[in-house]
Amino acid sequence: MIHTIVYGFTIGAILYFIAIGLSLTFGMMRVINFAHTLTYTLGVYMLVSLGALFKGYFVIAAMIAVVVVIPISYLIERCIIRRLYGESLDHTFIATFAIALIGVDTIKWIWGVLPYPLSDPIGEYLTIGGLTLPIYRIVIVMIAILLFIGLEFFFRKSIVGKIVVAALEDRDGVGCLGIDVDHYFSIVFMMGSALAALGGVLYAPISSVHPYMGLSILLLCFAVVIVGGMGNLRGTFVSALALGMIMAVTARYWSQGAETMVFIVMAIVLIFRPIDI
Amino acid sequence: MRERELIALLVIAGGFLLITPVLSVNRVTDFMIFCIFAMSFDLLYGYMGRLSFGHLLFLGTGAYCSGLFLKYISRNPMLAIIVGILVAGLLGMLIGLIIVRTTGACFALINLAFNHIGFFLVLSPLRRITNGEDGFGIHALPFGFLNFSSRTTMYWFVLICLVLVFYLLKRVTSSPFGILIRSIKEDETRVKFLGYNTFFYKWVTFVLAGSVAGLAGTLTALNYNYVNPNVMDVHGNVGAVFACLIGGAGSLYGAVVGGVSYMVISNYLPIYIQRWEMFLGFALLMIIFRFQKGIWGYLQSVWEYVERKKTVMKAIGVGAVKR
Amino acid sequence: MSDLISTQDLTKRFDGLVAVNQVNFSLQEGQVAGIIGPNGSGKTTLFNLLSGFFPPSAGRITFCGKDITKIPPHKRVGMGMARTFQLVSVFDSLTVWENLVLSTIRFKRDQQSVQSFFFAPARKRIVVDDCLKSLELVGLEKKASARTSELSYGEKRMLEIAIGLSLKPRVLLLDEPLSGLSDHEIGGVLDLIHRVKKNFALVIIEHKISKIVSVVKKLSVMNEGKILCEGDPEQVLRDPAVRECYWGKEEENCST
Ligand SMILES: Nc1ncnc2c1ncn2[C@@H]1O[C@H](COP(=O)(O)OP(=O)(O)OP(=O)(O)O)[C@@H](O)[C@H]1O
Ligand SMILES: [Mg+2]
Repeated sequence: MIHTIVYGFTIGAILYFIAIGLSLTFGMMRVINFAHTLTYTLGVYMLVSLGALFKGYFVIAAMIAVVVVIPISYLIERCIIRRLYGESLDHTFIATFAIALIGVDTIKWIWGVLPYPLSDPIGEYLTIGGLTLPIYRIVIVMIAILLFIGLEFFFRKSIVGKIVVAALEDRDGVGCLGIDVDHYFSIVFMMGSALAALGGVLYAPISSVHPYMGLSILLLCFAVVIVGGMGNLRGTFVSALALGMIMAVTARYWSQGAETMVFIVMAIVLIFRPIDI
Repeated sequence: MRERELIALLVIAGGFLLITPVLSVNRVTDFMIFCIFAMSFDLLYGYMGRLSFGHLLFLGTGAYCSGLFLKYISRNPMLAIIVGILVAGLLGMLIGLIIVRTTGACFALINLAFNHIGFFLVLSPLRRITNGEDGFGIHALPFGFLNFSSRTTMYWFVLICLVLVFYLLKRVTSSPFGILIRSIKEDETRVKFLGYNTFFYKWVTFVLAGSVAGLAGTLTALNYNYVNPNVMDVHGNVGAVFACLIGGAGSLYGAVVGGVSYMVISNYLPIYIQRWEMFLGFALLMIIFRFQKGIWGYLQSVWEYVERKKTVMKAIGVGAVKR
Repeated sequence: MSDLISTQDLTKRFDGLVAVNQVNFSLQEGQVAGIIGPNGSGKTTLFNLLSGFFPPSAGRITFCGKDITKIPPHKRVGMGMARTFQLVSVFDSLTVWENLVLSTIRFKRDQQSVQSFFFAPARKRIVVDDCLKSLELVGLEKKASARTSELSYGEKRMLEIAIGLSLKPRVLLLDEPLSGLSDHEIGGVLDLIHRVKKNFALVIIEHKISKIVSVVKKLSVMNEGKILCEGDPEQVLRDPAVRECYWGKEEENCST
């Protein structure tokens, strides 16, 4: 049972890393970004290449991988996402999906289609009272909690954070104060992308690496954002952990039902609390 | 009016007949089935303005129900088709009650959720009868002179279905009901204040779209003599959205043109261009930022422009004569 | 004569704001009533409550002797209540005559059948003729097959009123029918109102009081969600409380 809980928290933590960016992009710009997990995949592949360079120094490789993704996400935001502001849902969907297609194909071009194996960089187990738990998973959960606290501070205390929170509420109102919302959106977008990449980098060693990995996790992240409330950061945290736990518990008894359970929860939430865009 | 409809049907049937020698009977059968699906999707998306990410649920339901019917109950293909359509329609009636209350992203995602649940059901809990991810083969007996295991019979049968569906949807979309759903797309509240219970009409549209997609599903099953969960893979929904946007949403011609274009792209492009996904991505970005109206919409506006020019020319010409 | 519409203590709250506060409004069969009041006084909200746009927080609405407080908007339209919107709302993506199809066929028995509603082409003689008749009434018949998005604002307003009229209402609620129009267009709308007002009851919200004083038989003044004063237009406008709430803002209109 303890195992299940730790697994649930790990998946929840990863979902949280990825979902933040999705939620913020939606909350601020009303753009549903299907290309969001592209940076997640990119981060992982960067790690694959850098890991070969920095043999044994997982942390350094991971950090560089996350940093490398930032300029790429800046380009995506600048060239495509920004132009989609105010476009209808279907057009943003197609455009961001097109970016995902291009990105995935580029990855296939550079790294090939075959899955890469990555191994647990810590590889040690913690033994408490007869239970053995992989330390790596515990580390992931720790990072997620730290990140949550850090983000809370960031959005409460820093100027950028405050502006973003205000813009989530009323974008035009903030614009009327003479603040260039688009500029802050760029920052937030890059931050969200970097976090997604971080999620990818952390998750890759305990999952499989293949070019379509982003697409398969994207739908789960949508569910997290819907359940937590679009643009609601605390909600995203809680719903990511809850849904991760639901997945882990379902998987324990019925491994194929895990993802479906998430969608059932999402459907129920949508029925009782529809979002309107 | 009648004549124009007839001409339209002939043009569509003729178009498919024309491309058949160039491509192949098998391929064109596939294309036509996809076009039926694209038209049903366009009814929801192009006409009523509700984008669904889970329309394949109905195609899959049609395919599985007719397949299971053929496998376990009777090998009469016509009955199987009817069963497939009916069950897809019934499913639409049931989940439609919940789904059509929503709009926008909510509509899209709740459809996605249901599609996922359907996919999962045939994959795992119903594995005993659906044979899980391996799927199952079916064998339909001939119905009268229609031998469904013959490729050519299947081709003609699908062509007739396509024409019939086009005719049905053409009638429906040019009726007052068609105006009603186009009005709902623009401003649902306003339609309520014209005295229409929009919920009911949205529901009817949803059920109709579901049933037509169910038909496409039964045809898929009969065409391949085989059903597996891929028919309702959630990711496949992208195809329908692409088709409608490439062709031009909100027009049945657009759906057909887009359906064929999308199928040509996804079937042939990979043969000639290795990085075809990248190519498709850039093409789609072009469509979104330059040609939002799609192929058919673009043709239409060119046509309108020419017409206008003609009338202007005439006006000038007449004036000159008078002087 | 019995009341066509009457409200009892009708109230609507938006969070803290009481937009409509215990309003008792009544209208008789065939009566032409006007509602005036400063911006944000709750006039449109009152219309929204009457037409069922949203439910009231408290109070009741009676229409034709029936309690319609909980009845959805489309049924109210069926009972004979039609309205227009403050910001013109017509269907831009349709052609002008198509805008009238839905409201016109509601009242044609032979068009009510499932077959003709779902399968028969909308572009049929009997339907189009009726739409054209409605368009003639407002002088738009020449533009029948134009795209609605190509109409001017004034023409759109006329079209919206034509839609309201083609619903054959027992009462028509007009929300600021003159706002945003040129003097010439205002003349057109007023002329139209004069021509059709005998057929049904009419409620007009308007800021340009001087223009409607000659049309309305009863004038209500709203302020901060309440009906301040009600009755014969001439008398109402002389009421000092009304003058005070309009003080400075609409003085030139009040003094007509
Ligand atoms: N849907 C709503 N949600 C919240 N507040 C609303 C809503 N509709 C109206 N209000 C508020 O209710 C008050 C009354 O608004 P209403 O539109 O009825 O005024 P009005 O008399 O029509 O004014 P105007 O002359 O400008 O049209 C306003 O303060 C407005 O902000
Ligand atoms: Mg108003």
